[in-house]
Amino acid sequence: MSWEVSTMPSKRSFCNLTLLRKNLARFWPLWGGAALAGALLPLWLLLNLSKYGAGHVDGVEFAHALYTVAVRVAPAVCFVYAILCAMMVWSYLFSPRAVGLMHALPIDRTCLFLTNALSGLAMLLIPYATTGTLVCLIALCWGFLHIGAALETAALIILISLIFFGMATFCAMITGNAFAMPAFYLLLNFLFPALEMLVGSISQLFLVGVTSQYMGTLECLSPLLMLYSGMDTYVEDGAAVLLGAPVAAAYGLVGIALLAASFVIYRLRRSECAGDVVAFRWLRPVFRYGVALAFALTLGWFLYEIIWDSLFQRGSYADFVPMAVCMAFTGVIGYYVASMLLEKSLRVFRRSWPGVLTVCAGVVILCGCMRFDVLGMESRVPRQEDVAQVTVSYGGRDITADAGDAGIVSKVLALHKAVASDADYIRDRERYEANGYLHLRYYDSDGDTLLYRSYRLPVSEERMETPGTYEYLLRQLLLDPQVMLSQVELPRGSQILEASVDDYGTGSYANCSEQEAQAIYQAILQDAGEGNLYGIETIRSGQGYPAAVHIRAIVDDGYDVDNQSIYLELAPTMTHTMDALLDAGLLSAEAVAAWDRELGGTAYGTVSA
Amino acid sequence: MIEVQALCKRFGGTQALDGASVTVPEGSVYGLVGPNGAGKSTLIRHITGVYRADRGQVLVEGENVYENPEKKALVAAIPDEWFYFPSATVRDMMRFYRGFYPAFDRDRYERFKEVFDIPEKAVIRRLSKGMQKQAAFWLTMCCRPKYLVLDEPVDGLDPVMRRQVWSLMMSDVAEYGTTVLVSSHNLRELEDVCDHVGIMSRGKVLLERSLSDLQENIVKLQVVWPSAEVPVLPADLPLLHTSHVGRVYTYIVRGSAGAVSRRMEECRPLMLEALPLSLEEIFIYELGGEHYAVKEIVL
Repeated sequence: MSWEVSTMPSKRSFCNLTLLRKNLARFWPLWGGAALAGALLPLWLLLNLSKYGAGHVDGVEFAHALYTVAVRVAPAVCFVYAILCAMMVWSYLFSPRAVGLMHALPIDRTCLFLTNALSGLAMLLIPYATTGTLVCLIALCWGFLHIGAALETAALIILISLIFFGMATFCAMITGNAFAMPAFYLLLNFLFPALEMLVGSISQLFLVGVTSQYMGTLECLSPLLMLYSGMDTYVEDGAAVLLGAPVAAAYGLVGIALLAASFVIYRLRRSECAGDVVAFRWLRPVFRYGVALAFALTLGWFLYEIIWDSLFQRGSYADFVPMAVCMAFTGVIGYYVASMLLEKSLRVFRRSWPGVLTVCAGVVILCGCMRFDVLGMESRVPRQEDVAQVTVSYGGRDITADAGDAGIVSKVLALHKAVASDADYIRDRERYEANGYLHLRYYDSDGDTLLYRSYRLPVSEERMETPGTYEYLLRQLLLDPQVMLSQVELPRGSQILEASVDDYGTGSYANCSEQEAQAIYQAILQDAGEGNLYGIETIRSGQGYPAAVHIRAIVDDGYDVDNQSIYLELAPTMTHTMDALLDAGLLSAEAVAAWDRELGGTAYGTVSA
Repeated sequence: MIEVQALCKRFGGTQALDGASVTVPEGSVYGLVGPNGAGKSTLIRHITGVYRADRGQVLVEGENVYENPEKKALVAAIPDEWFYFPSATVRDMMRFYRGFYPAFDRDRYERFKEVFDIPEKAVIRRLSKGMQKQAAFWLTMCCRPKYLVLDEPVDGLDPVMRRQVWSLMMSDVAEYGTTVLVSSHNLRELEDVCDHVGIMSRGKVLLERSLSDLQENIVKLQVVWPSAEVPVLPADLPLLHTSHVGRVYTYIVRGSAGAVSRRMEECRPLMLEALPLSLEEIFIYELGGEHYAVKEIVL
């Protein structure tokens, strides 16, 4: 036998068919099972068509159904299924014995990576291809196949598969441990939204007005969430519409970039890291301090809540030192847990003091940054030019102002500034002296929330009269007739349907005709124009009203019918409204007398007289 | 030829290989011996292209073997723990190997069915350790490698099968000029088959020579002195070890039997006999100088 013959130099290969076949043969239960599960869909479709015929199905409905699968089902299925496929094809990287065989084979890392990536993608897409082909064949036979929608759906599914398989492959490349891979995958998908929520929640404990409400600022870093929020489908003008295809395309490109990055990492990766939690030495501190931070933010907060908050905390806001201690303590625990995982040993305590000190210092600095508002979250007030709309809610008075209502927006911003500048004052008094919640929400021109703040405000009578205080500005805002009008004005073209009165005391409910409702609405507008709606004093007193007036209307723009309503506590000062209600027979003298008795005065009686 | 030049490899805080250099001549049977943790398996994983060197290089026929499919196709290995796919049969693994090794000999595979008494369609995982090892030999030898690299190859094989396997390998060496690199603790076995030996300790190759050179360069002398008083031996005699039972003294001396005997004759012993050392003895005495934990009790 001649060596020269058997080992003749061959052309460089980028895919090894033996390995590809072996992968598909080894893991057939996974993709075969998925294909079988997917085949239930065409089976169901076939049975339905056999029973009911195709009379009620057309191309548009078929296209909409395909888009719905791509938009609503595919992201979640791909998210789970991609990690399973990736875990299968990259499983050899987690076992020293297996990696010893695969890397000793006469193929280079490039060919090995490309073949395995191709195997994984094939396993990922075969079930979709099977299901899609069967569904399209059935649709073709029944005459409602929409080829364009089918191709678009196939493209979307490929793009969605690419991003999740890319992420899963990237995770496989940075770890040598089979258990760490899915953990990293989850982390990569949800790390940033989770961090946003955690930091928001802890900031809320320290900062006046800041809420833990999820804003989705970093949602683009979570493909699963972004695919669900960025894609949609509906039927309009007799055609199925697909929204958000560019989102899927962008993530598909990210998936390709991640696969490229994984390829580079794979070539750098050393075989001996099989079994290690992280595959590269430079990732070890990232992992160690990352776990410490996660422990500090989650368990530290939990520890503070169960020990300090319930037993020792005096005000509404967290105490800095105990919180920092809890976070440092749990951060150190996280540091040691990560060290144990990295070293695969429990003996990690020797010479660990620099790391422990770093964790403690880092956590205390982080906690301090949140408490002392280094990012200026507490004092942040949007610029007027950035605000497209603002909504204010205080004690049942709900105000909405668009950028066009520059005067109102400017007053809201001035109020917000005053509140923010009095943060320490509010922090000291909020727990015992607060009288009502002030919610401020700003929207940008895209309709996204720009900023949301929620304050529990102490309101003092003295400060209500002092110009510049937030109480004074709030009072002025609530008394502003323009504000009152904006609160009760219905959109142009509204058709008022009915008016009613809810009597809280008796639980009785009365409504009237459309014409009378129109008169009541005009009376409400008149009251608002004269500044007769209730103001801050009423809210501060905490005195409720015995009844509310409710106007219901619709706006029909020819395409869509929008419901509108006004729900307003009936204050004694709303004289025009009271008169209109009496005229319409929605109020009786007995009811008014009963309200006066309830309030211990003659406010309503005076009006009715 | 396989050449390993000043190879260094560190795992975390452990220096596994520290400038190891090995030359495996074409057509030789090279035994790599050394204590546990000497770096033999690490060296072998470099030769098979699994590990990337921190420093130094591994050349197969003058080319770096890492990421070199052409050269890797010449090398087939049986590692200390052979990997097979969990549900694979010998036949499955044969198809797998056949797809990668261009010289895979299907006829030989069929012929070896009689040599290795293993059911071809049995799942390898369910076979005994010894049978798994046989399966590894069966498949690896069918790859017709030019360089056969074996890490503790005959562990788990019964004596008859060991003999059978060695016989097959030796016939490949004789017939096709296959080069065999074998690491083993079984020095008696290596002594029978190896023509070259490299001794490793603490990541270094202490010495490598042909077995005959090695055996000619160290000698065991048994000496009886005329009186109880032992004469002063020549100061320049490279004495590695001394022991005695009664008046019979045993000296392990570096050098050829003739030269050392002549020097010893100068001290006028009553009786002097030069004996060859076994590979195991050479291994122990050579490593004794490396602070290897071989105590007097071993002798």
